[in-house]
Amino acid sequence: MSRRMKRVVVSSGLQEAEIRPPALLSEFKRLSLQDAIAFFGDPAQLVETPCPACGADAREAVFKKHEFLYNQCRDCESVYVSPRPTDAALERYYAHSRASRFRVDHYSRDTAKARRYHLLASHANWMGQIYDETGNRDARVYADLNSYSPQIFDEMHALGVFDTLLSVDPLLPPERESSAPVRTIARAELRDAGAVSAFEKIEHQFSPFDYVRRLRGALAPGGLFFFTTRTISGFDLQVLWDKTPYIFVPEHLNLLSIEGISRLLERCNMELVELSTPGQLDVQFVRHALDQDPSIRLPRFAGYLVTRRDALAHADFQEFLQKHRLSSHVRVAAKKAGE
Amino acid sequence: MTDTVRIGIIGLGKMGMIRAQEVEKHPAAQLVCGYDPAPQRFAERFPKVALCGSMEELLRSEVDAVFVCTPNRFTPGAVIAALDAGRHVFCEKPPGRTLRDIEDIVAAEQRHPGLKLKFGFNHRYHGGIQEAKRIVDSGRLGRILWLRGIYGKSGGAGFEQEWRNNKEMGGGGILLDQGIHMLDLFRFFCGDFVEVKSMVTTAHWNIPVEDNAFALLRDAQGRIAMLHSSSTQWKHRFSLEIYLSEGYISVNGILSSTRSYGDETVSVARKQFNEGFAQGKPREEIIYFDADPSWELEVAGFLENILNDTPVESGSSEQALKAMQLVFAIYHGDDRFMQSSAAPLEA
Repeated sequence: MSRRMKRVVVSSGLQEAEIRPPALLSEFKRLSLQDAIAFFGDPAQLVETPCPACGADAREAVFKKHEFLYNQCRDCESVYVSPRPTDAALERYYAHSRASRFRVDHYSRDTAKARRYHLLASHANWMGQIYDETGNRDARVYADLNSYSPQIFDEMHALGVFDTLLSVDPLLPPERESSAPVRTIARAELRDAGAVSAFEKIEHQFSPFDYVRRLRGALAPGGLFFFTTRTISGFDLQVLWDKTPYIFVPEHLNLLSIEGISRLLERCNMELVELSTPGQLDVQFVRHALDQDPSIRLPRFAGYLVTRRDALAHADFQEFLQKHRLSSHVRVAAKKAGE
Repeated sequence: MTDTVRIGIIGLGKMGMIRAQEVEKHPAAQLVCGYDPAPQRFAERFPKVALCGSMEELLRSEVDAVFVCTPNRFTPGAVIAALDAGRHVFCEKPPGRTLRDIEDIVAAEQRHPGLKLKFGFNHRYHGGIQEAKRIVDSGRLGRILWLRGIYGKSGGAGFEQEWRNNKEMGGGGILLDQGIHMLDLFRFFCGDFVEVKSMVTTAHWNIPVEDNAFALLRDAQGRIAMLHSSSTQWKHRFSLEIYLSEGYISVNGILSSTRSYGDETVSVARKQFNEGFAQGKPREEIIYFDADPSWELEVAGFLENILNDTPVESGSSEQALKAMQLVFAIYHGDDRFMQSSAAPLEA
């Protein structure tokens, strides 16, 4: 890891229900699981992959969820689905599935205000700060990949840091949702970008390595790549493990470990600038999972903390998780390193 | 000038060792020799570095630049002798014991305009301070309203016997020794201050210099900075709060070898008056820094100034002079203190 790398702790009083209303999440998950069977139900169409983070082959099958096998890399401890749907099958899924449509038509729009306050404004400030600190001042193009929260462009426009804002293959076209001057382009047209963001995308890529390498090619020298994802190193996933209701195929093919993320970026010749886990919801996730399924058995300490201790203890514990990179929500800034 | 800067160090105590370590790591620097009346510990740590028998011998040797890491009493003499010998100089803070000391140094610098002179105000290079400066300069949180800085250490066993608390050696107490860093940081963010109110005291320690200084400073724009410099802060503390028209930045802790000032963090928030969200409890981000690059960056900056003949922008003699002027304005702002036996050494 880079010697000067930063970590970030965030407190905003975020409640899970604000950005993941239970009814919407439940319907989205139901559709995703149905679509997964429809699109990827034929085992013959699935392919084996090595660890998507470090590339190692050695692994151990750790659990099965909805008929898909999750493996753990013996090297970096990332958890991933293998065999998994091909790149082409995933592309078809995101273009045509009911779950994808639901995400755009309901999930994104209905949570837009809370997402903008809790997530997008802070994402924009974060990217602006890192760009000020280490960005290429001659590369003033910002692009967001497969966006379903076009309000990110309003936040970026307000920052006034970038000259050009690009929405690349958006899931929700920006024209009606954003008042910022945004141009929509196809992935193949993206080049010489000063900053590219991909929020919650790495986890469902067929090959995160190919994804980051291709993206690196679209960055200007010294260009920055920002992403968020779920990490298996985080508290809620570690204690809930196979019982977590929050991971499912194909949304979560790759649950990279913190160490795996570092290795992935290193393999892609990207220099880490920040690797933080500013998640605010791990304890809430565990609590809600227990509420939904009382048969879940947690490690004794985790169960006691979550069920018996008060909100202040939970907030302090969540801050500890953030500080030590132990929350499952991870955000990463990486810089295109020289050849 | 070749691609390598040959360096000698005068004063081989704690700071001399820290500088030697950074110089050894830098590819464009060669640590040639050092001088100290008691060089044993240094010699054990850096056995390949030649030891000189006197400062004069070191200045006669083949060095391009000299680091002056001596107690304050010897600082101006060493800096001026090195400049007059045609050497670039890096000088630890404070730049002497009195205003006259730094004025003499500036006069020597003006006699040798081709030489670089830099002072060790390393706090400007800390990750937290750099981050805060970037945010302020970006303008995204508006204009600075006020600053509040606390820099305190606990003293401890043997504290009263340290040379820093010997008026003849140090010139002043905690304000001159450590508080000067915070004053330099106030200037880093606001520039010059034109008005000073202060109270200075020796509250606890049996020492002939101050152990606490409180000051209010106002700049030409009316912005106020409040300082507390202390050596009775039983739990070490560094805190610099910068409140702006649209938010705040709070630098807490400063990374040190012992981590006694805690983690170095920067808390950043935008003021939050939106309807529907709690007021006075804004969304806050705390940035943690895993390493202290300040020594490395400071030495690298000095070498870059020499090799590329660029001006010293951070730690210049003007900044050192102005920080010293603030220190002495704070002393002189308290008549009662100035009439006490703890008043600083004057020129």
